[in-house]
Amino acid sequence: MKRIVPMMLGAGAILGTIAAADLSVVAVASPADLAGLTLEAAVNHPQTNETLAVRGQLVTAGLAERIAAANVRYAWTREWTWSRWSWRWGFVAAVGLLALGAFISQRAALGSGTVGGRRGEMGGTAGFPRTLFSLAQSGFFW
Amino acid sequence: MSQQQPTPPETSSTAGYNVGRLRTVALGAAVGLVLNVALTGAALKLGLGFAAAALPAALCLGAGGPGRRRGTTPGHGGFAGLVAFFAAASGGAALIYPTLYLLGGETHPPLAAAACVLGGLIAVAVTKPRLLRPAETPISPGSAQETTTNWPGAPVSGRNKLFMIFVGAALSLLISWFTVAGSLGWAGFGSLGLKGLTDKQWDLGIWLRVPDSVCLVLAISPLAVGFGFLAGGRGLIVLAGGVLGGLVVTPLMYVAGWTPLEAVRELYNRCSDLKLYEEMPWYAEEPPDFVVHHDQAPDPQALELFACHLYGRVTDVEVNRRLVWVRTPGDRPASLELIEDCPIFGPDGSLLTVEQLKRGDAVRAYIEVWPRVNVRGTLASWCRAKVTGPIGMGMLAGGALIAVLSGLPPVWRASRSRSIPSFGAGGGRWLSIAAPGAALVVFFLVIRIARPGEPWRSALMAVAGTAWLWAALTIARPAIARAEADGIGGLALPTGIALVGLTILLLVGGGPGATAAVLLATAVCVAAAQTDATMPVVQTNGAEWPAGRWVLAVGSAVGPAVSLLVVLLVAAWNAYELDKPFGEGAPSPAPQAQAAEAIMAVAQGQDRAFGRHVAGAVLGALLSLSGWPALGAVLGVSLVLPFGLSLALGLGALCRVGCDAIPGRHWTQRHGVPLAVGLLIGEPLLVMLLALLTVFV
Repeated sequence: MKRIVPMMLGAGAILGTIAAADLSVVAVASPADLAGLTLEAAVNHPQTNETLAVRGQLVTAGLAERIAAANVRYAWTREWTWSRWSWRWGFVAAVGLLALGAFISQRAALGSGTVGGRRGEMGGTAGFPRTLFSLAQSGFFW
Repeated sequence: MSQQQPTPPETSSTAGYNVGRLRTVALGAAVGLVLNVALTGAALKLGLGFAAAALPAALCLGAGGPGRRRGTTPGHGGFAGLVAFFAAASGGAALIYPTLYLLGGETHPPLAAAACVLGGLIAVAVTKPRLLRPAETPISPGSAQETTTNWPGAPVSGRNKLFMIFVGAALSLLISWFTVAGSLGWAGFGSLGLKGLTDKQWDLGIWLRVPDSVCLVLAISPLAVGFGFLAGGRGLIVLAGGVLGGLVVTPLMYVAGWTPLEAVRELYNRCSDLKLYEEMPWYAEEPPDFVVHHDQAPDPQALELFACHLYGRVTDVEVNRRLVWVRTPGDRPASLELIEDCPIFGPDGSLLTVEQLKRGDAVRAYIEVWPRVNVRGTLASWCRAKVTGPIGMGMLAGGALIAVLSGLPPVWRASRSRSIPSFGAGGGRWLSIAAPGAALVVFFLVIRIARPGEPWRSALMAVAGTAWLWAALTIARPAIARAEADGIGGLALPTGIALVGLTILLLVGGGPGATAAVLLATAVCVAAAQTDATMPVVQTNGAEWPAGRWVLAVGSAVGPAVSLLVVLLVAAWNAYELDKPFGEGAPSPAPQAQAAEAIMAVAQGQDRAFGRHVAGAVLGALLSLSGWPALGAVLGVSLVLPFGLSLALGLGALCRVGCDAIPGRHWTQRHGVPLAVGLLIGEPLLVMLLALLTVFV
């Protein structure tokens, strides 16, 4: 159990973050954004940042139009749809994995008398199921 | 060093405190304030913090001795406890106040100072009644106290530890100096000429030949390394988060074509194989605008874009065999044209003169820029700003919320059994009226000054703020020793309290009250951080107090003020160095303030990356449910941090794990921890010093 729970949590965190990253790929591509990025790529050299940053302010406006005119296809502006197979289902899976991991770890903690990493102290810092349990026990909900 | 004699246990309200031992008090205050500066710097830079009590305890300066009860935490006694009171508020001011810088409006330093001092004083008013009730707090496994207690050598010579601290601080100052020297016109690390090494970071990816989409850099930050060493094994979680964000998600997004950089790359690929300064002597003969040497026939449109980058206005791009010529309006040399528009800097950052331009120095400067254009740093910063950052901020907020929620059951239980006193119980009933009353008045004044107009709304905000202050203190207070159990997650609870408070105040005060809401949230955050961090001290110490209550009150007022001063100075230095006080890209990104700003934007209906924040919050909350309430917040912070800092912190943590294993824990305690504290101290001190110089000289 000690090995399974961290593995579940780790896998859930990785999967969830990647899936959440895909959730975010709905940004609107504006030529101005792209111009900013293009300039940023050009000014990546740290020692001459100032040079091109100054230049960049002068150039950005015109460059945006030029890039738009360059007719580059922006593959990254994608529609947000649940129907498409995607990482969004991965996000659902990650949430399930994390919830299960949290549940198991709480059960294990309650069973061993160790809550929140500390043995023999039931009152202090518990996780959320423990919190809910305590709240229910203390009559918070009724 | 102050191997102070433990005072015998006392039960009356004043007799137990030795106010006469001025030397001890002064030393404790000094050490506390230095730690305060270090922890504030760490909170601004890394968004992580120890509970203030943990650090002096880990240092075990003058602690222990015959007065210590078996099983209690020695570091909480006497001197270390005094230190903790001066250092406790370090997290509070640094978490939320920088939001005002990010919002871009007025920052109100005097009002913020008032709010911070008030928060600290209220905290001490609350902790006071507990002062005389020592409790046998069990020691959290894995915490600093546990290490210290199980270490048979304690108490140790404070002199030896102080020496190690000074060595660490000197080392840190030296290293930090070379990271900032470049911006002051001195030689920094970058001038060593080592491949991939710049003043502030070292690009390991160049050495390891990783793909461009992987940004494998190491930030040169002794603060992060020292922090990681102190954090120990749990610091590895930050490294794991950094790896997840920087080495997994970012390259994956690039490969999968989820980033606009893909489009930019496509654009650049058309002229990416330009071989630039292969024919250097050519400039001396005839200074052109610029020249590129191309193996194949270049794409004129791409070249025009490229030229447009450099010169702004381009009338013609001429490809003549393997040379490309660019003309600007008026058919004059572009470099001469440009000098009238804007300054041009050479490779070393100095302003170039017309003569130099004629000689072609500027051309060389640009040419040196171009071959280095890559997606590496750009992709990483884009992903952090747009994708992993928002997810991390959501995680931070979600995790912090769970930290607050997990503080509720003890409060609820205790309030039913009437064992938790309200303000001032046991220490004079007048406090129960005076403390919230004073808070109400000060809050009202703060709101009126920060945001004129609509008195009823200001009053409502003041009432809501005071109510939340009370609630926050009640949540933070029974969290005894939790901060230790949380280790580096010590800031999760104050963050959660501040973010919830901020949301409440925004809902009450509306959009124009944002500045006032941040100021009040700062006060609440300081109070919560001070209470959260000093309660363990008070609970376990009780009788061994070296000084009077007035020292504690002074410490709780001066600590937050100093912490705020650090924030102001760091902002001044960042603004001087990079024209950016806080936020993404600044040397001190202040992740909590970024999260607060994002929450404010969402709460005010400015829908910015709503899905990312919510998804992150769900993940952070679920992770925090797994038994360590700060897990979500710490992982969230590590996604917001630049990978270089996570890596530096992780290296420190790995060092700690290694040192614990091979030279042993005794060695770590005797030499490693003080050295790491020194590393932690040096960098913020240097920044403060430089900021003072830039402000006053």
